[in-house]
Amino acid sequence: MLFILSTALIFWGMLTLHSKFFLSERGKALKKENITMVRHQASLEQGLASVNTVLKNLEQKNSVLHQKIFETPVESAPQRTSGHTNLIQADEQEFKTAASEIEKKSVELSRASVNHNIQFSTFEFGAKELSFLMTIPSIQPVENPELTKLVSGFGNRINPFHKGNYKHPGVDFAAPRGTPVMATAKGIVVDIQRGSTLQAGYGNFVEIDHGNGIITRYAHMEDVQVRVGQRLTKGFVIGTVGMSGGAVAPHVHYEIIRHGKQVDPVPYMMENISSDAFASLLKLGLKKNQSLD
Amino acid sequence: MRQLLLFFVLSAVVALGLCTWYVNHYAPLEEQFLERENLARHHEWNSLQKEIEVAYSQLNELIDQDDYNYRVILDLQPLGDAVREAGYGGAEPVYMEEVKGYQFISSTYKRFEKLRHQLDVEKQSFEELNNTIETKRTMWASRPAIQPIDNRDLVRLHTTYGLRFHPLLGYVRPHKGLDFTADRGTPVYATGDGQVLTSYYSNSYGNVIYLDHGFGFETRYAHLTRYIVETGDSIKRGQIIGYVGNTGTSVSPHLHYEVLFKNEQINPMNFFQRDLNNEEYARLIKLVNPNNSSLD
Repeated sequence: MLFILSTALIFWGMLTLHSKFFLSERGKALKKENITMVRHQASLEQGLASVNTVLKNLEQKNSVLHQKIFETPVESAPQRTSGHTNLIQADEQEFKTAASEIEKKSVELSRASVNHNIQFSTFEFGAKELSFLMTIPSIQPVENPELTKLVSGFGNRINPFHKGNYKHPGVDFAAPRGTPVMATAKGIVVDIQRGSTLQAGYGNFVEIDHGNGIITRYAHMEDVQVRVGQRLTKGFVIGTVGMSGGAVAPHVHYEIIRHGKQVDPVPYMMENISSDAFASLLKLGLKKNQSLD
Repeated sequence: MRQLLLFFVLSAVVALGLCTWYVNHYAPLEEQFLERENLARHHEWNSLQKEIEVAYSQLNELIDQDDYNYRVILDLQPLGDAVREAGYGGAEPVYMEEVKGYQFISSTYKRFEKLRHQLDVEKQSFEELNNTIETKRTMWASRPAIQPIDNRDLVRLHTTYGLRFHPLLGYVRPHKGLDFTADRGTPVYATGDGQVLTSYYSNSYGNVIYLDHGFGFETRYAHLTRYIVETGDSIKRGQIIGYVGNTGTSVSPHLHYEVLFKNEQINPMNFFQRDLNNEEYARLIKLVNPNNSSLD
């Protein structure tokens, strides 16, 4: 008993002494690496802390800037995921019930949709119908794949000059100067203005008649590239984005005038766009912010 | 005694044997300890790298807002990679020598320095953005943008800009402004921020005020009964500057209102919305004239 104990003690002592004096190459390398890491980690952490302070400061400046430009607060970024996922606790029986309900409903839905599909496929799309569809302004007047160009929608908005509320008769698409502007439907050019130096009003603009009482107007343009009387198709480039007339930023102010009255153009813009994107577009158009003209 | 000595020698020998065996099969204790510490350090280093990446992505979001949102609206060019990368690199900092053997450390430093540099560039960019928006806001506040007379006090708006028959002089000539018919004594408001250029009596204009709004804009308010501002006064949009009258070549009390851009008269109709409703107008005026009494 005592023998084992003493052996163990001497063993332990020898090992400790041995390791203290005979550190292997690997051990030496590890020691050096650990020390280096500790030192540089501390220095980097300090640097990172000051960087984060500056970042926070910039975020604040960003909020202020956003408010000054759009007269609305910046939307808070979606919460950054902390890497934790929330487990949803569900009772097994409840889950089974819910699952069978969902299955029942989806069967009903597929049955109903079959009927609808049948109806849709019996709808005749002749040349006349297609021709009519081409005259409806269903696209956006500029390429806007990320939807971010739609800055201010139709109706009650803040006027950038006197900051009062007023009726914004169209939609503002912000884009860099020179961005091409497209006709949003087939039609004939009925009115243009170029070379405008007036610091107010529509500036350089194009008006297109699409028939059936629908006219579209594209204002504050820089270059107007069509003539009165010219016939064009949907998507034809009619000019470039500018800041002419009473505009506070380069954009195209787009109006749909139906039987003499301006209407909200956003619900029309459903072509070449997914349902989700269209829903987002509608939402963007509803924000009660400051318009660009 | 000798037994005790033998006892210890025996256990020492056994211990030595065990030791030799142990040393040949396992790493020294100290080394195992160092391995564990090393692992922990690497974990922490990874966390540090992740934090740097988080900061990086936050910065990139700000940069996107800057280049693709704000600069479009402010009519400025996006900075672009060339500008953002410039001034970066060059002489390696001192510590780089130290950490030469450790690729993962030097690459983290490189990443961090880049982050810091981009952050600096972005800070300066925001300065530029801020200066630009402030100038623009001053311009928007200065430019004529409302009607000079409260809608409710309006008797009739004469949209008579352009050629018309002059009632007193008796011939057709260009009318360079708009006439707002209103009762004598109706308050007249400045239509944009600015400075009084001059206010005086002339035989044609009668009592008239010239306002300088900067950015090329000037407004004139004529035929007033009197004006209550003097040359050099600072004016805010909506501030009462005088009262409607019939002085000068005028047939009945009205305000003759002109807007000039680069010294040439242009049609004032372009510089206000007629659909600004009464409440809105009253609210804008009230902000500047706390008393809001229509006559004094």
